[in-house]
Amino acid sequence: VTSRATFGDFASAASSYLEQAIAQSEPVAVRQRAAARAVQTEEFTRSLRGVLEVMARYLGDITTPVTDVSVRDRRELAPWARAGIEAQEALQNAAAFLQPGGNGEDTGRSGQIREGAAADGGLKAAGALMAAGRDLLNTHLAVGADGARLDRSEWAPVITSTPVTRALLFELGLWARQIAPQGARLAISPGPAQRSSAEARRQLNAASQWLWVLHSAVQSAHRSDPVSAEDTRLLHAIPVNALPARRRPSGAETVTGLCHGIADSAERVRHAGRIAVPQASWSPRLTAESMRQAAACGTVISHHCEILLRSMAARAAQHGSGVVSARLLDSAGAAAHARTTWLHTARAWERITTDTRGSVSPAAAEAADLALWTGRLVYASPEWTLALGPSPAARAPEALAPSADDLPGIVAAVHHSCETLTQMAAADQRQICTAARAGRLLVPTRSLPDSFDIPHPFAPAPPDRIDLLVAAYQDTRTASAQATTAVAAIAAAVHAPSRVLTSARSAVHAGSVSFPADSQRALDKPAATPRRSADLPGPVERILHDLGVTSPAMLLRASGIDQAGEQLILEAAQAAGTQPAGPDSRDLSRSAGTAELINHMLASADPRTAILHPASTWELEAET
Amino acid sequence: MDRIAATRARLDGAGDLPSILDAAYEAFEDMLLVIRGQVDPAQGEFAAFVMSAASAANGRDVVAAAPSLPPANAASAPVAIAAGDLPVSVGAQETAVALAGLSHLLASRLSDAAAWAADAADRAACTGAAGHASRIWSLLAGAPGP
Repeated sequence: VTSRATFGDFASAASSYLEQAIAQSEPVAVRQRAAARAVQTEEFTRSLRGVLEVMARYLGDITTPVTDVSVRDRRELAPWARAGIEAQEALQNAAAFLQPGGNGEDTGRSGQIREGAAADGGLKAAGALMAAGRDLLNTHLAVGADGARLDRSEWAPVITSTPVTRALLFELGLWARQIAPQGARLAISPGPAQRSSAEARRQLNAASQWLWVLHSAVQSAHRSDPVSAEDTRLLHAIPVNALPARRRPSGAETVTGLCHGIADSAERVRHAGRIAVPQASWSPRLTAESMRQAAACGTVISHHCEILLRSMAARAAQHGSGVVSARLLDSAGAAAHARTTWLHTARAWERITTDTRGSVSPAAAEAADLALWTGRLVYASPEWTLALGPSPAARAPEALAPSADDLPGIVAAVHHSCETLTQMAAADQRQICTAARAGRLLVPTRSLPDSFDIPHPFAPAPPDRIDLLVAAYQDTRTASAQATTAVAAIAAAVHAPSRVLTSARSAVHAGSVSFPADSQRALDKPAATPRRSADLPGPVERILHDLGVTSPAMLLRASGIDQAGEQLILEAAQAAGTQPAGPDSRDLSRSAGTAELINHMLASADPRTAILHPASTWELEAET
Repeated sequence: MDRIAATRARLDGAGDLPSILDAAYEAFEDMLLVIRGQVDPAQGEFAAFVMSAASAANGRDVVAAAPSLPPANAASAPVAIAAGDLPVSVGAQETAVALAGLSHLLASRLSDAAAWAADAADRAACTGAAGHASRIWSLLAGAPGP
């Protein structure tokens, strides 16, 4: 859909780096291995601190700060509201264990033995990419002088929509799940015998455990109210807020190039229209010239859409896609109806004018560009313009879509055009209503009956003419929306890249998220059955891996032993949890062996492991 | 086509600024009516006619703002016509050629009037309206002759 950087570019790259969050050590002598591991732990901890800061900023963007929601009240919250709060807490707890200069941080030593370990793993790079992804999302948003959020693009309401916000929280959970096992593995691996190093590794392990808790909280919400693949795709498709440059077709474009030009031009039209709406009561650019040009272009663009859809229907039939062909013909009918309503709107503008004249708005100029781009796709001549010339021959269906693979790109171009016309009709109607309330709609006095004695060239537009105009726009909005819906269904059927438009629209319709306000919907689904950790073998299974065992039967037995052990611990912990001094995994993670076992259990995201969640730093301080 | 011919005759016969403005106002109105009868999506002229109608309405509004435009009188008031008022034999191409000719004349007369007009607002109106007439000509002049 766009050649601009998207959130998905950064998120996917961050995930790739997180796969290798720990740098591979270069071969070193056995006696140096422990020291090298200590350096890695320090560097990992330092990078993790940065990553947690970025993740905290993400959570700050999409959740409300946790203040006084009690544990009991959380049970009444909707799953994602509770996940947001628990994720925030988990992240705060993880970060607290990694405070710079805390116990165990042995600064200044790494330089002495740097040759024994690679300087950086992928964690630092992943953190930078996560930060870039957040910056990208924030290009669409701004904060006004009164502290209110301002939308800077059509993507802003998508970013703050409930589905996309959940998808983002889900993404944070996945990142946490990628980091946690690597941090834990580093923490419990053999290190030098110094007390400070052991403390640092304990703290890294505790931080990693809290990342598993974060992941578990998100997974719990996901099991109750899943984030769809479509929502994740939409999140990943969000581009940086940089409007494509204005350009007009040169005549040298291929069909594919024209389709890209249409998508870019359509986005510019939508952007210009969105900006114009709040200025309608005063803007000197709201002129009859602008509105007439926009309505005329709307007529022409929907006409072009109809021709393209009919041509594609013919081509789809030639390719043997009878169902798609029939749907394309239905869509063509809808586009033709939209054209009729746009024409009625253009005609309504012949009988009305505005208090300012002489300029054409950016939205109207951009609409003329889109009419030209769509015309160049419809007609075979590379020099086609809106003006009359030698008889314009439409592009033959086989030239428009030589193969079935070309169909989605053209459907996308039509989809972008129809979506833009729908938004343009809505934006123009809102402008007209505002302008009418502000007394900006006039008529030439000459056009009024003789009974009107008005000594000015223009007079306020009679209400009946305004009503006709507003009604014409309403019809146009409805017809354009129907055409868009019809084309969107085809876009989905042929997997056109413009499907993201439909996802974005439905995300916005789902409303924006406000976790506390959204939180009254109680959990009404039973907890899902527990799952075992997929990315981390248990201690017995790991030992077999370390021994080089590859026999599936033996590994399966080892996994079964791990699971049986974990079940036993969980049952025991639940029983102990009913007593006044319940357990927590801080107590159970004092040795590397038990920490590995607890880590593995936390990684399973089994809700029952909540009883094993590690203590936070403030709980530890309270005890001392 | 008789209507366009009559409008051309009025424009040709207008001698002073008020007469030219009056004839120009009616010429733009007549164009709107004629175009309305010719807009047909099945014809290749569809886009050009739709865009021309917008320019005709713009030109009329600009002329309406001229201080020297006289009040409407019964003789000059446009008579509404429907699509069926035009002879069936008159095709879109022929109409486009006729409208292109009218718009060329309109642009010429208004440009001349702008040069004579003493009032700045009249000059601005004539110049602006001439621009819209030229736009119509550029949209329709490429039509092949009948």
